[in-house]
Amino acid sequence: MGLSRRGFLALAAGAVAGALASPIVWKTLDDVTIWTQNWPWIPRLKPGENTFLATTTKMCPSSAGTIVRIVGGRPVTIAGNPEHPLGSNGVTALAGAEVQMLYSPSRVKTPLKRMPDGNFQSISWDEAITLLAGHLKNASRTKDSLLCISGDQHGVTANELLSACAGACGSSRFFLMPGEIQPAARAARLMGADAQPGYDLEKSDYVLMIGANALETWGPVIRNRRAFAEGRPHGEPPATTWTYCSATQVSSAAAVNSWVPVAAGTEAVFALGLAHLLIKNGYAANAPDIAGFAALAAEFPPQRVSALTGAPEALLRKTAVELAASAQPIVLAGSQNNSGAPAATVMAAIALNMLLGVVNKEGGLTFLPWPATLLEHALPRARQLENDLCAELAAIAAGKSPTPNLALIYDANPVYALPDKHKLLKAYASIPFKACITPLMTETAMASDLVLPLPMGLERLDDVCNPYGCGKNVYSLCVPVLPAPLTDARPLDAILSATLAQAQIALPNFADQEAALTGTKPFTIRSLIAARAQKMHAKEQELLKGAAHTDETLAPVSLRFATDILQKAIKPLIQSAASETVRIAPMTRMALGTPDTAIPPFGVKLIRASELKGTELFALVNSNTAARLGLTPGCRVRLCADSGASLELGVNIYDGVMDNAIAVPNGYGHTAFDAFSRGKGRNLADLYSVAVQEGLGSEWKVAGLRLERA
Amino acid sequence: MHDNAVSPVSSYPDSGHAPRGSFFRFAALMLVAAAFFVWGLYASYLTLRNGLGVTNLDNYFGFGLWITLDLAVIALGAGAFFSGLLFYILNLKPLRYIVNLAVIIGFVSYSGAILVLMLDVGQPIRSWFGYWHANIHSMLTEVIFCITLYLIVLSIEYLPLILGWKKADKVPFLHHFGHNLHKLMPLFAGMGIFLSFFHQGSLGGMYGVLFGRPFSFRTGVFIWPWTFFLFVLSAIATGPLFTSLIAAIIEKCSRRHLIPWHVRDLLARISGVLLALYTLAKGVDTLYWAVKLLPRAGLDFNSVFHGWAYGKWMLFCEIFVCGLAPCVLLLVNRFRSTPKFFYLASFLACAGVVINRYVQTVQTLAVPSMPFETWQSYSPNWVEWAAGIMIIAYGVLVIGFSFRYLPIFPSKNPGRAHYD
Amino acid sequence: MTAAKNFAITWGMVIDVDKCTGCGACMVACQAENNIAPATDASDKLKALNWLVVYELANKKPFPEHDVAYLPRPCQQCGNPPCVSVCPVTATDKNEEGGIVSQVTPRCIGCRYCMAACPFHARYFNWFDPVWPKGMEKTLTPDVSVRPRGVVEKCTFCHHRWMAAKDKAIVEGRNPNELADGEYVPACAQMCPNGAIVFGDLKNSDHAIYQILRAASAKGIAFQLLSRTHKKDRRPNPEPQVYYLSRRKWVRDLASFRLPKTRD
Repeated sequence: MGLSRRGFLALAAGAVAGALASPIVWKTLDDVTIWTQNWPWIPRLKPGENTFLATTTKMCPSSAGTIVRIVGGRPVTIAGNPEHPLGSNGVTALAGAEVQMLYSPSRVKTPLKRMPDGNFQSISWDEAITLLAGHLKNASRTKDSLLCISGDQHGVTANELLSACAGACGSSRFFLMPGEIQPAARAARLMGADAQPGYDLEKSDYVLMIGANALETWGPVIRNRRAFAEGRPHGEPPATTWTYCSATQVSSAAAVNSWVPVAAGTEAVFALGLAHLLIKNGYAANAPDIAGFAALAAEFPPQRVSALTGAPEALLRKTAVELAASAQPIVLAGSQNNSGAPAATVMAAIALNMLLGVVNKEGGLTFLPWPATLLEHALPRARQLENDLCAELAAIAAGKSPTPNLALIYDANPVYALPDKHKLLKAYASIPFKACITPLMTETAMASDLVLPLPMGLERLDDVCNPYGCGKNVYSLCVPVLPAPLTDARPLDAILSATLAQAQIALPNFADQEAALTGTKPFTIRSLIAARAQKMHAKEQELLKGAAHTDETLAPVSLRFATDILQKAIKPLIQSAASETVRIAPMTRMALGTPDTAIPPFGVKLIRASELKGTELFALVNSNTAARLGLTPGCRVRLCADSGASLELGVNIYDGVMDNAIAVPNGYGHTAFDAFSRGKGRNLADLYSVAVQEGLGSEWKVAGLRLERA
Repeated sequence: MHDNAVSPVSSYPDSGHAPRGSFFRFAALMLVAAAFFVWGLYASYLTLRNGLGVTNLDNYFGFGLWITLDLAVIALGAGAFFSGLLFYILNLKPLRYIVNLAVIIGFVSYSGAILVLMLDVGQPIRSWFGYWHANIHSMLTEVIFCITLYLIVLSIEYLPLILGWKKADKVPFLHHFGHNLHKLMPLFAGMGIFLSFFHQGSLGGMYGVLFGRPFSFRTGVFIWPWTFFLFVLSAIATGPLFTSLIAAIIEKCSRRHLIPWHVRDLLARISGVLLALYTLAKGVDTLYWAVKLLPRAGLDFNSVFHGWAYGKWMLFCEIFVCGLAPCVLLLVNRFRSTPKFFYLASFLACAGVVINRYVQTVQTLAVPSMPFETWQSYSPNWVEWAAGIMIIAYGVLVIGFSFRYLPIFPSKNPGRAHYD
Repeated sequence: MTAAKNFAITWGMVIDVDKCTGCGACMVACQAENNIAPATDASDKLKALNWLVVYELANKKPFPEHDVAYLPRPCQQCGNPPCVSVCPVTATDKNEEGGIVSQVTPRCIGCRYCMAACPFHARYFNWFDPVWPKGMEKTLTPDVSVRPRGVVEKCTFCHHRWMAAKDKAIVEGRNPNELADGEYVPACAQMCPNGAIVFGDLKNSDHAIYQILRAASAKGIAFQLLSRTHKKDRRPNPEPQVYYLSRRKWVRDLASFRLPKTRD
């Protein structure tokens, strides 16, 4: 068989032409294009009708008004609500991830009961309620044998229900998780104000943030940031001046007019130094004990303040001059921790505001009346804030307070968030039965005997009332954006009323029968909200549509400096400031969530390379400190405190940390939750211990910090 | 023209095969290669199954070991088109000893490169979009055109050799088919030369046009940056040397003498001249880049080198140790005629090209491209090494089997004179 | 070589670096809006997929002279994009009114040449298939298709929001090419609590961005990343449609490479 060259070419050409003329090639190519785009394991988009629901974030401490976009019944994204007094177009990195948190892998799906082998078993709600009711009934037989902890810092209704329930069971041991508001309320009370300090910084032209990271974590941050943004037209010199005093030059410090390095824990000294300079400049306040305060402040001349706080003298003087030169200055105090600044720090800041003459003035320090108490047995808000959880656990640990029989934890994560694992958490662990009402499987849930699933903030009706930091009265509602929770979760009122009924304990009624709405059961969130709205002359229907009710009524106050108390309070601060050679500077970012949420899935990509690599957490020190302590980038150290607590970390060099400060990020070291946060880094709270000062409440500190090479 | 064509090694009618060497040694070597190949197959499976995340490539280093390997084997495989040019077009007859091997190396290089590219592109089943949605402004489009078309050409060039396999040759159809193909070889060689020239060039052009990356950006002529020509020149200078290195390795393994020294000497002289030209051009290019281009981009020479992996020593090596030194060794008779120096020179020249391709690929991406960024480093992980080694093992297998079973080298006892 | 393409509508951003505190709300908004899958570990910053990244800038001085700034980096939507000309399959183009550099992920073959070309590192590769925790895929918006592994993706200025704004204008009988200021805003710009990102048509004097940029340019405080610093630089200028503002000179100096002798 022969094949000529011509024949060969013809055959080849014919074969190619034939193949191309047939649909096989083209159809296959077309199919391939489709196959490469429609892999069955890649989620498809689902169209649907767009609706928008306004609500208030419960998950994020900013308490900002938000608008949830819902497509075909599914919430998909969240945006800010500029109509809301605490909102703006934007939201925090945490609130921005709230919709996705509905589907967090950590959600508690059903009630869980701890079995004798230590594992959890899924049980029915009936079983769960029966179990809890049994313990509640038991606890109600002895006074104060129920310990109730609430993580709801910014709401009133849930706390009323809980404390009324505790009260009905004969217990006044109702505690909020520690935060900025407790020491602030304490400071205000000590200085003669039975009201909640507020900060009307929307109208201030000079905002001095002493330790308060007001553009990242402190107070209603979205409101703070909107005020900040409005005072800075693009490309123009800022119309308002913001000064940030803290040990680390992070977040707020990047955009403020000036950053003043002040060692964490010495903020009160810095404030007194400013007070001294102001008084020297002729500032005074119409308070009976101004002379005594002036004498105390005189103990803090710039040189000494600089030595104690690490703040350069020139910056201290500059700040004082700027404060004096501005028309409507305001001073905020706060901490970089989740714990709240010591009461002494807030007192010193209030004193500065008094000297500046901005108390209850527009753009100044305002005092907001406490919200009404609606339920019988419930602790008034002011009393709730007086109760000091750390002090109570310390008292239990010391045997000065009886160990409760039952702990009821609501939407809080004390096991992760509280300091002093050796003392406080031991005391907590000694409580024989712990029930945890929580949307997510937190460390506290893991350590409980009974876990009851709670709807997430976007699934439940709840409220926000005067979150600490706001300058006027704000009341707004968190309204469910889904017809029903995604898990078998029940709201707090349903859980508590079923349990009380089962335990044959009478449901608390309205304390004020006038406020009671006819025909409604008082012990429900809905009726309490309705009653409160009526009391406030707010329109309930508007509130349910996500609109906030605001009220500019302020509580009249006549403040005093309470110099004697301040003097006593500041003594340990000075002692430790003088003796410590290195100090912890905590760094907290909203993106990493709260102790209750852990790191949201959408927060993981916001973790900075300088703070976490794999599971290794890094402390940041500046080059001076690194040289002094012999630290090199990437080396490992062990931070040890006198309490025996220690923390092993890597070290990175960052010159935006002040001398002798060891900056450690907060929010890591979770042992519960899910792959997005579990096992990453270490929990800074582990290093802290608590000091309780009579009358001043508890204060978090790291005493006698030492560094060892690990 | 076809009538004058001379087939380099004929499978017909009675050409003998070169002695093949010990079967045991052959089998052992092939088994080792096959083991590496299978290891690489596993790595490839992981890559295709799970995605490219299993490699150490990242968003800064989108190109890494695989692209470096790709460019390196394609440069070194340039022996195929260049010896084709010399043999078929310029009629340098002594190259008949090497031209078949060059075709096989070229085939291995190009098919190996395509194999690794199929792993390296994220959507291999879409790779034909290069034709379908071609962007004619992209150097990579030119690369895709050239690499695929030239692989087809190389396959056609390789086919007659396969058909020269004893058993295939006995089938009359295949015999005639091979014969006809042979006569077309100069045509294919010509197409190959065109395609490969542009392929080498556009690979260089790919980097030269990156105006966001001052490390590799170059000015040039018309649409072609200087790297276009530097890549072509470096490829044709080193390709034949690589072919002769492989031939030497085959000789070493098979313990047979296959290529007369005068053929090597000829290759060495040609490569020496080309390498000298290339080294000169590279030197001038580097100088212009360091003195003019970099400062105009706001950078200086020092700022585009960093540490060991991205150090200046590599540039020094590339130009002096692997450029100038082999030039001297290849162009001075005394050195060239000493096998030791000859092979050293060949090795250095090839290493220089590999360094060049590595630096162009990886260092380009490692240099901070915004002033507030820091140097990043890249090192391949086992998956990339395994798949890379798979390509080398694949080459060893193809060349090994071809050498053993196909008439690559002219027989010691030629029958009718097909060669001269 | 090539001049920047000209469009009657030129969507652009002005990012006020002096207002950014690096909180990352923009990055979260971007992930949610554009259906970017979360990662359980993203501490390998070079492998994480983010259309928008907030860079931390430092003035490199020791404490206490140290200063810090945060610079959000979306796709710069270059007037003369380095990425477009290199794409072998025309999967990215700058050819539509508005000047947004498109990215056709269903066509992308994943060669990553565009990533090598982009000096802003604005392009990201899907190293793995996207995975959402079970159920979380229900929060996907219906606007942006989920990309499979093996393709490159990048910020599109939330192009779908523009389409929606135009549709709305058409339904309301208005000219879709004359959108009012704020009718079309990408998620990051909307969600920044500090109002640091201004978005609008750079050529429309009715848009705030137009005046802001003019005023800032007049003061010499507006800048683009990697703009030409040497008049003899023969490279094409990317000419981003994203501008930055900073009153701090050290921040502006960090925008482009400059040799010490050209610094003042």
